[in-house]
Amino acid sequence: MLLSRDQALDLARRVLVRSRAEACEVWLDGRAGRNFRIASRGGATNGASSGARVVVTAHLGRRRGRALTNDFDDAALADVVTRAEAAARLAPENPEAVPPLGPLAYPQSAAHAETTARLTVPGLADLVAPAVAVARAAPVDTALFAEATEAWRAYATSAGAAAYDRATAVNLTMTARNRRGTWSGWSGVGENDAARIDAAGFARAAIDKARAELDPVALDPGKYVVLLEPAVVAQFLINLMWRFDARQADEGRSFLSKPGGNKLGERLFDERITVTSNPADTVAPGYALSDDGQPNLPTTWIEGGVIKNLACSRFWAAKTNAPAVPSPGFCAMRGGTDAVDAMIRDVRRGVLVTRLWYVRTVDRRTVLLTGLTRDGNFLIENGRVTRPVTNFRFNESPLAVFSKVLGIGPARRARPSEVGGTISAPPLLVEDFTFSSISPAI
Amino acid sequence: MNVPMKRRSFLGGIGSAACAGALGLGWVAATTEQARAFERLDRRERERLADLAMDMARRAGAAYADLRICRNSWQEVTVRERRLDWSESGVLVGFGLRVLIDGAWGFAGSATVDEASLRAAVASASESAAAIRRLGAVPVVLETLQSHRDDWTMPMAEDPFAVALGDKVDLLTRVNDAALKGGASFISASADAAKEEKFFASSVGSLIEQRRVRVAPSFDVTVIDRASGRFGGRHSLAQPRAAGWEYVRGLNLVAEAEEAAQQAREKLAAKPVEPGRYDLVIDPTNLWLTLHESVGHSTELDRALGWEANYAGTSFVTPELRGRLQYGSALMTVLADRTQAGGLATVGYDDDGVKSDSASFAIIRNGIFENFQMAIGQAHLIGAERSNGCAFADGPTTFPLQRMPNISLQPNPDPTSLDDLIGGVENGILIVGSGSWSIDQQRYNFQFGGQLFYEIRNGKRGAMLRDVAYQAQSQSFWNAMDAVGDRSTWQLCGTFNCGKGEPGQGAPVSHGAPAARFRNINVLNTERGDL
Repeated sequence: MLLSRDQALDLARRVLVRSRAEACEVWLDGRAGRNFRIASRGGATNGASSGARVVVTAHLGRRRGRALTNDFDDAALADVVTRAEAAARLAPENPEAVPPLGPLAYPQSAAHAETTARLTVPGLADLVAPAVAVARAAPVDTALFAEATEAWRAYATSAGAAAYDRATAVNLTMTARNRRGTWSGWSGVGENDAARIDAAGFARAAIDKARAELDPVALDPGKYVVLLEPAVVAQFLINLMWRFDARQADEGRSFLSKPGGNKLGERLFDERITVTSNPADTVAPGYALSDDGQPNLPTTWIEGGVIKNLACSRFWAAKTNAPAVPSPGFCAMRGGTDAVDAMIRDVRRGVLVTRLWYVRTVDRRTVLLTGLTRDGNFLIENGRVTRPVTNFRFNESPLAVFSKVLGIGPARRARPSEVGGTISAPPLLVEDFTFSSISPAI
Repeated sequence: MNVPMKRRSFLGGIGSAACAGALGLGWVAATTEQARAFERLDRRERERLADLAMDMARRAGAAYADLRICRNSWQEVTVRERRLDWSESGVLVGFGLRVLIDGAWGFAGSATVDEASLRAAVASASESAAAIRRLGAVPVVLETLQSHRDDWTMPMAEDPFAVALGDKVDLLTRVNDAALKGGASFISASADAAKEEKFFASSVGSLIEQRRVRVAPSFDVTVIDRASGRFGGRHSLAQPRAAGWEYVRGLNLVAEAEEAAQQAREKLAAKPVEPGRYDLVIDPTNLWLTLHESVGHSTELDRALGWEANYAGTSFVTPELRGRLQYGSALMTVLADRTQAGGLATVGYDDDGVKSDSASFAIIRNGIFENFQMAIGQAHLIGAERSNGCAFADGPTTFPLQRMPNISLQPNPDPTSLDDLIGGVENGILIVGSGSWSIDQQRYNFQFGGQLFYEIRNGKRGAMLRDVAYQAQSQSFWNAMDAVGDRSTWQLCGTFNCGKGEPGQGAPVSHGAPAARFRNINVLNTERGDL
């Protein structure tokens, strides 16, 4: 269910007037989604659904009670308030409870586009039709997923906060496999504005990789120079940014911990690595209203390889006399000026990596990750991409990946393979990347 | 694919929300009025709506249609460092309508269960079917489906939703106390519960009511050595189960928490493993996940057919390998079962309306691959007659997919204890509990960690080791299994949240396994840079 600013904040007011607690917070959000998937070997599915909810948090001293509903009539709103207050009375005191936020200024967001909001399943099918046409004309099997979403969120409190924000997203992914079953390719695009989607180009990217004429060659596991495409860089970046938390660092259970504090201000990465988040970013925008009601202000997380900011909850900020910084849910790694072709020309022997799969944390202290390459590994020999390379399992840390940088290409919107997210990332040329074993998977 | 993140991790705070897609609502909570609205939908009213939906679907040209009206409830409670960190209960109510028109599926769902929404859903689903047909979707061919009229309820002694929040907080606080007493620097303990109530109707005349409940008690201990800056942890070995609160009461979580903290301290100071090849004795608390990833997902027919190629992947197991593939050693028999007591995938009928006794079959018998898991519309593609009852949709508004039944490795009928397994090892490692896990998209190459690792020397369990992960290819690993423990070593484990599909869905599933021994497996040291 989609609500406008006025509708959402009116709904929030209808909740707040019913509150009898010392203070009250109301969070509202909703979405409408359309999706389908279609594979040339069968198994097409589709779906259309929408929903919304109101989450009420009642404050009684240091006690908190939380209740939610997706029914917005008067009786249901009265009931959800009553239940939140009853839960607060039953809850033990929370020493980490913080008061509700008051009125705050929020920056502009560029995350919503009407072209996306208007898409129905048939509209999404029309958007994707050029990709399907390209796939049909190629000697490959393809599997495609398309999804369009419009979502909104609002936050209001008895202390005067009243904020609303909305966003849209279109995501397309395609895996292609040659008819001999000897090689595959993948492509993924994510945009807030459907008008930016080049469906035919998206499909060609996957198909061109799958059509490689030579069979894959198996390389020995070991350390290689790798050219990581933006989707791969984005996946390492996500796995890093999840851990940018001040409390975890201060408490000694993070790669950002050090005796007596954290590594804020220390240089941990190559000096060309800079990561920011800005809701009005033209490439990777996001909500101006964060998950905890605070504004998502433009923030620099890493600058010149130096840790500049960590996410910090309001409680931990007050305790440590640090600024409260919400987790934004989107970010951008600054690109460089190295052209992809030029980076490839500099490689004597290396591997181009298109997509990662099943990435999991092996060691929290070093952020060692394991996972696999899939759908588009290619050998780079003497400055040229020559043939497919059998997939590998890797054991590698983003701390190493973002420290052993040989080249940085132009950043663009990246659609990581395994997790969602609004990310802008460049292709990176990285040395000494650890491939641990071979995977015969295609 | 087992998914490690909890629902709330997607919604806020650090965890997976950072840089991971702020658009995702992922679920819609309903309570009170909608829950009451569901209750007002007595059987007669549900059947009336179903008749209406089937009639509208037929008039829209559907050769087949089904309707699920569901109420999915959940409760989550977490106590961290003796403080109530999280408490939430929610109800998701709605329906999902599926129509098959001219060989194309159309699907629509809504959180509002009434005539107007059904009418809109039929129109929307018909429109969607036409849209994907226009794109050239391969026509779906359904087998002859049987009609069932039944009412199935999972047996349970104590409804976890009737247990007072205070009682849950009290238990979890005692778990916190025990862990802190045992030397934990940090402790987070949770007790989650889920309930599914489903009404299923189809155009072949099925009318099925079902109810089931599951619980997941767990904790995570973290220990820090301030002098060295090292930190580590130990996750609980307690398993989720399709059961009432009596199961949680029967576990000794408090004692396990204190022991876990001590073990985490011991592990922090333990000897790093020397990488190389070892014989492994693997406890069921670890082996279930290896079974899940390397056997469960590999034998899903939709993967083998290429339907999941874009995301979850395909499989090294192909239809022509039925009856021929030497999947594992002759000691390996793996059975599927949706009737097993306590099994997280146990249910009366699957979400295609297929009776669950169809889902009792051998996947692997004496090492040879026999059968795939199937949903409707797949059997004819491998020359089989009908689905074996393995469909599931994780909510009222999600499309039913082929998902795992409970899948278990069978114990040795001959007496074989854990000590017997260890006794046959000169130089090896005993691995307990699930750690990191990862496997490729065709299920060949995997790497698994664990919670606890013990040296085995000359048939005896020795000191604790740390930084262990094992890496292998599925088929060679299972063929390296040379001994299997008996029923005394067997345990039913599992997950609330096995991920698959696009959009992603989570499914609960159990896996039983005995302890087992594997020869000459590659072991890594996860702290070293030469992996």
